[in-house]
Amino acid sequence: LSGGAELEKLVRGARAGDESAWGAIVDRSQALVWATTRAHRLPRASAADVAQTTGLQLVENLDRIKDPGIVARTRRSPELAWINSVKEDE
Amino acid sequence: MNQHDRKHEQLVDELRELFLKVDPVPPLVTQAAKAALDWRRLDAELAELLADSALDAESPALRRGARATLRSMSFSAGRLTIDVEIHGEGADRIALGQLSPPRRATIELQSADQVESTTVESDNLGRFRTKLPATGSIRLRVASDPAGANWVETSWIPL
Repeated sequence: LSGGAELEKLVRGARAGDESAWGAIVDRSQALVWATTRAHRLPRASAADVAQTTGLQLVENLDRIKDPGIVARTRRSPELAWINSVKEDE
Repeated sequence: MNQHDRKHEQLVDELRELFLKVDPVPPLVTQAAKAALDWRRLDAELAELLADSALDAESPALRRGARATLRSMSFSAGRLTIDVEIHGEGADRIALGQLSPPRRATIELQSADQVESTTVESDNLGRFRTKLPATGSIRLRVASDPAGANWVETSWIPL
């Protein structure tokens, strides 16, 4: 399974209330959320608030995710934008 | 998926590993995010955030510390608008709200850090008032009919 197809399956599972599917999404996305907030130099307590809110908002929007792959991709994350520049230079 | 995408994903995976070593996500944070699924309710319509005074100024990173005394937000779902003002600081924080069109309704305050929710009633003019937790995220659920069969809920508000 490619990353996108696997996530699509996980998102479908989470929509149906499958805790292990949701747990897998959290494990994949929280590392990025955490790294992003920390890159903004937010203190740990504030970064924890952001991570929690991100999780809650992801849950409330589960039914509206059109492209589940985006949850794991980082192209839209400015902190990791350099990855894209690396890619473009190839 | 083309080759670039694969390389991109690989790079992201490596980077994720690196971040996990240098500054791991605290277990409590992951735990809280996993618990978020319990808040998924299929009986409610989501009221979108239309405006938040906290987002008007500069970036959130810069805003921290510059204490605004009043924060106001508006949410909307169909014909219903929910305006909320947050007054005070820390443990003394309260929310003053207004339903438009004005009506009596049951309003539930949910806090992401607490299992128990609190309930208040709005008056004839659609006004309500409730104490807020000192930290964490909250949301409001408004009964959209007297029987309480249908609910409108706001998106989560980080306090």
